[in-house]
Amino acid sequence: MTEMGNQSIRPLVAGASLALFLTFTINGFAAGKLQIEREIALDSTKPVPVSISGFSGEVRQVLAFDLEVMGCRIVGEDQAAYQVTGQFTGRLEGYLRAGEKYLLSKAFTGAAPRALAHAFADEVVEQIHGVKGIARGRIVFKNRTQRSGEIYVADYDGHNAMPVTRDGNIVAAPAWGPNNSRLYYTSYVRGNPDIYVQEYATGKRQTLIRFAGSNLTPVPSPDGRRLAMVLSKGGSPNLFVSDINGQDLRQLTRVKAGVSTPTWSPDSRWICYVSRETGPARLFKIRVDGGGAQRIQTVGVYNCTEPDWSPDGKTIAFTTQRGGFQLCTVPADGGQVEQLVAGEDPSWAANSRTIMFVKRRSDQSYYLSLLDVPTKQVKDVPLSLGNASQPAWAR
Amino acid sequence: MKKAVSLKLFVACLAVVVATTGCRTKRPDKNITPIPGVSGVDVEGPGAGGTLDDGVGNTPAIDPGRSVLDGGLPGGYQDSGFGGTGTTSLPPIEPLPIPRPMVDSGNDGTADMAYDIDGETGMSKDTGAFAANTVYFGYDSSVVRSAEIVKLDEVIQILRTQSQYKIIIEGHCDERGTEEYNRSLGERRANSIRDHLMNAGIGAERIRTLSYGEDKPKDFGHDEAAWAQNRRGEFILLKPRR
Repeated sequence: MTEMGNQSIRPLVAGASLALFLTFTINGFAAGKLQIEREIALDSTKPVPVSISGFSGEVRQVLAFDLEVMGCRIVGEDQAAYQVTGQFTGRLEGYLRAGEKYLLSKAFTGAAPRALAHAFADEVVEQIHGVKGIARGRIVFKNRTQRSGEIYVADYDGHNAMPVTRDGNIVAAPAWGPNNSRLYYTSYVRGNPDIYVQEYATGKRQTLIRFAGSNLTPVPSPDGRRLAMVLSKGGSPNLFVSDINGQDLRQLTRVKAGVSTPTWSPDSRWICYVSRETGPARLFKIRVDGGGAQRIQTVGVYNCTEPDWSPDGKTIAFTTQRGGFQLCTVPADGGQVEQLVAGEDPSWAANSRTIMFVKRRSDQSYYLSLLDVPTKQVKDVPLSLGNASQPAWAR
Repeated sequence: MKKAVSLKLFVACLAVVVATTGCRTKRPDKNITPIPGVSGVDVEGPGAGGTLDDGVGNTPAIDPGRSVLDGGLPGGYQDSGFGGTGTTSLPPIEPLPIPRPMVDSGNDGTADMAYDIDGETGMSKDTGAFAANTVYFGYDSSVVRSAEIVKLDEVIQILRTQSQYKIIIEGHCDERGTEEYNRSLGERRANSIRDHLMNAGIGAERIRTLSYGEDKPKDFGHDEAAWAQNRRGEFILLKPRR
């Protein structure tokens, strides 16, 4: 958090037991513009205590869920560093205070109550953390039945879930395309795992890649120009890249032991993937425009799969397997691994802070959950579908 | 307390600024339905008439004069005081379009050179022919164990004598790997079996590998006995239809 030319500082102890200080710097009053820059010096691994009053029912539930997902903890007003107040009467009037200071005062209308609450929660979180909230995000995922499955989209909290395929066949690894207007995925509907692209709004679908063998994990680059994928094409599964329409296909790796699960760097120049070329599954990265593969060191763990590169480029989340599955992060250039929580298949939200991931029930069915990485708080997604996995955020 | 005085001044000025920015041009936004009865009604914040810092000035009120239908991006933020005052509309909330079921356009990717998938349309699938020849694998392994290799002899024999036949090798995994890792592992298992068939002289154009990863377990249990059944390669014999 930056500090701007501070003339006067007025510390406000919001709760000594919380070891949390809010400092307001009033910057002067020039050209009708007054800026307050607050500086929060707090332990970022601890959830921020926030109270909610004035709201009830669904709106309150949504606010509480969103804030808890994004690193807050809902407490009584007297213990809160920030107070969320307001009312909902068809339109949502929302305020955010830190003690006596009003940080936010806005009305929201023009959408369903849940959407209004998500929008308010996002602004509250932006005030608290300085990073845009992700409560209005959408996800795509796979829901498996015993012998088949379908691709679904939903709000990030599992509401408004709707199928986008109705094939009654096996599907895999959905991903959002450019502008979140298209979905890429693998389906077995024509008797082979082929790669499809489907327009989200119209449902129009096209077979993009169909070679004998495996055509897996299509992942559009963040700049929307290219598609990374794993194809076997009659050999070991290897990393390929094409243009966004599946043309101009190039093979990037030639690994007999096989590769899986590519993920793009945010600048669309690198692809990180999993390879077994040196024994156990490890993370590698390769330049799209040529150059050899480089190992990404993961100090502390060796069995790594399902990498997902954070949108800010700094961190790669992945799954490791040692007995059970464990979510981990490692700096994108490699280094010491941080083990987070039990789970698999992480997907970063746009804030590079929230991760959606998959947990297994005792009967081995899957469900979706959300992790706030700094605080390690976990909130399960209240989804009524029984076997949801492979989530991907629209970013 | 000089600070307190300046703060009161700030709050007073704030009220003025909020009031003066209250009548901005409204741009209609077709995505948003206006809420009737809002305009002109003073909306007061919590503690209205109450205090913000020593009872001077009201809580920053939501600006009622400006419609919520500004249509701009979350820019309800005006320069009218501190960062968070104002009213915001929500243009980026598009109602989630109802996803349509997919419509195939029939535009295929290129076919593999070695094996013509679409040539299978004229063939029937016999899943029972080699039911006894299913090959089982070790945990996280794609090596065909020596004890399993003998099961391939019958498959090779039939393919040698019936040159019009083709074969699909399905690769499967237990549930203990991650999903796409397993799909890759299933492909490698099918590949291992195919390599044996090719070494025995069966042409690549007659063999298709098909990995299901962990998606098609043979045994739905969750113990080693079930997993051992699920780490497998199965054969589907393709015969020309008469």
